[in-house]
Amino acid sequence: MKRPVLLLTALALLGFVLSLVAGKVWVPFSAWGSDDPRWWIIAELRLPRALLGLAVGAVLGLSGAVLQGYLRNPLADPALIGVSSTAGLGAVAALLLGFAGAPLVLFGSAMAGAGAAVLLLGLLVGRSGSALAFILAGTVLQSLAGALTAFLISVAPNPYAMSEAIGWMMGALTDRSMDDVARGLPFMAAGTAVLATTGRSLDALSLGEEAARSLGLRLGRLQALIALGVGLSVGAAVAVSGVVGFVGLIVPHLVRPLVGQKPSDVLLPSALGGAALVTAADALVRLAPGAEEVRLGIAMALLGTPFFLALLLRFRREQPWA
Amino acid sequence: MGLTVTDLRVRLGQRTVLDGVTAAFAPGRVTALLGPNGAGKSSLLRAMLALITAETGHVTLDGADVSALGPRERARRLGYLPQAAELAWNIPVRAVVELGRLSHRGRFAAPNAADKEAVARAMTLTDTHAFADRLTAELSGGERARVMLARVLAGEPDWLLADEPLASLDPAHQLDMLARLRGLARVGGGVVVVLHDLTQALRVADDAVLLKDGRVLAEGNADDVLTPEVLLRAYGVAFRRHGPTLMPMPPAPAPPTPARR
Repeated sequence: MKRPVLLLTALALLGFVLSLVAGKVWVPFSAWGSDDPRWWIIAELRLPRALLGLAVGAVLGLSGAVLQGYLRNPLADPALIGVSSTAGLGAVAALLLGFAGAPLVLFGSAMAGAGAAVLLLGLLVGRSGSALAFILAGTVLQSLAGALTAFLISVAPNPYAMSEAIGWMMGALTDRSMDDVARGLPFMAAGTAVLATTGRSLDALSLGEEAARSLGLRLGRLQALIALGVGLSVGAAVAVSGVVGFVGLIVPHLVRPLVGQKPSDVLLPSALGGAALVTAADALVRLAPGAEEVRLGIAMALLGTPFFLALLLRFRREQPWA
Repeated sequence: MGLTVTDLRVRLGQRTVLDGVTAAFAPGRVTALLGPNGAGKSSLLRAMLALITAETGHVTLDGADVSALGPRERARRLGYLPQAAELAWNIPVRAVVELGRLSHRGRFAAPNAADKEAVARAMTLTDTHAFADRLTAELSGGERARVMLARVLAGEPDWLLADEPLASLDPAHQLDMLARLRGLARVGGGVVVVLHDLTQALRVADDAVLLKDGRVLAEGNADDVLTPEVLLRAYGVAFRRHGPTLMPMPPAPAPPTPARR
């Protein structure tokens, strides 16, 4: 295996361990084992959370890398095709209808939202396979789902449901159980498997759509695979953790200096990098002072902004006329 | 046999870009596609590759309908060098050339010996070995054009369809590119190339197809097509032929308006 991949694997493992150890209560390695009460913090609270952090980070990083490769645009991210928003809409609807205590309904409703997005994308784009139509359709879905979500929250039956929904939209891995892991993981794994098949097609697309088609690429099929893969994996990620932005956008940028820009070479490192970033960030949000944690989605947005500033400054340095 | 286009009619949006085009292209020869801007040269090339769909008519390759071939089969036989070939990511030259093998490889298969040989051969034909490991953004325009040609040649297609491969090249690199196209035809490949420079067309092409307003104005041996009479009808400009060069003549200046007092 290549060295950057090993490095990123090590970082992801480090993030995983950090996520188990760090928090309001530090659990040193000496306390690992069933007789120490602190072990239960790990087994019951932190293990599912760390596992979800790995999985959610991996699918967000991978989806971001696939979409950036597909759209040949370094600013693409999983939210762009509307799946996150529609899954969020599904979850918010379930929360406001009083299913906050029924995780299965919440999960199913979010997945239904993601599924609807994939179907609508297919209907709106048709068989053209055009990337522009894909982005436009995604933007339509994103705006519509955002508006409907805001509407639902505005007519919330009670303040408790409203705060529940708003809090959920901000994304977090707090208080997740192994049941959440068991529900989310299969979908995320299936989506990842679908997305992993796209690497070579994404490479061909770096020559432009027509040249890629002249190399035998079926654009419509590729688009369907991407919509399905992102729908399954990001839909499930949103269904278990709420909307965590910026990961899919940032991580491919972080790994490209290590592995080069060839789209297929960016996929696996982005998944690993996403896993490392989300587990580490989730460990950090627990260390914030005060009784409450910082929401993961908010923390990622706070991390994302300076990152973009750095990107902007570098861009200006490299292209002084811009 | 060869590549033939029969009564091809193509519409893009409201505009009819090809209106009953019939032409034949022979292997082992370089055929220049000529015509004024908007005549339908690029559209004809793209329709021959089944990148755009014809309303009526068909394109056949050795007797088989091109649009009925599977995309991979088509890709293995017809190589396409687009105009001003874009490259979205800054990737190493060798990786770009390897993309030309995609239609020969399985979805996950690593490049095999045949792939590696084809890539090496394509890089030899285009003299790109020297910068195989450089990133494409570091290349000059001429080097980049050769890399893009190598990418197409790595697929070992029977036919090369090139859309204005001379655009943005300096004269030396234009001659170099033309020599490479000729070389391909010499070893039996079919070459169809969209050109703007008529002198270069005269230099490189065996045959020529001259389009105007989506129709074939003249077709045949390049020497017979590229005559001042035909060119005047195509471009609306008088040409003068000096040996191997064709010079467009500016319209005679209007007589000076008599000075008024």
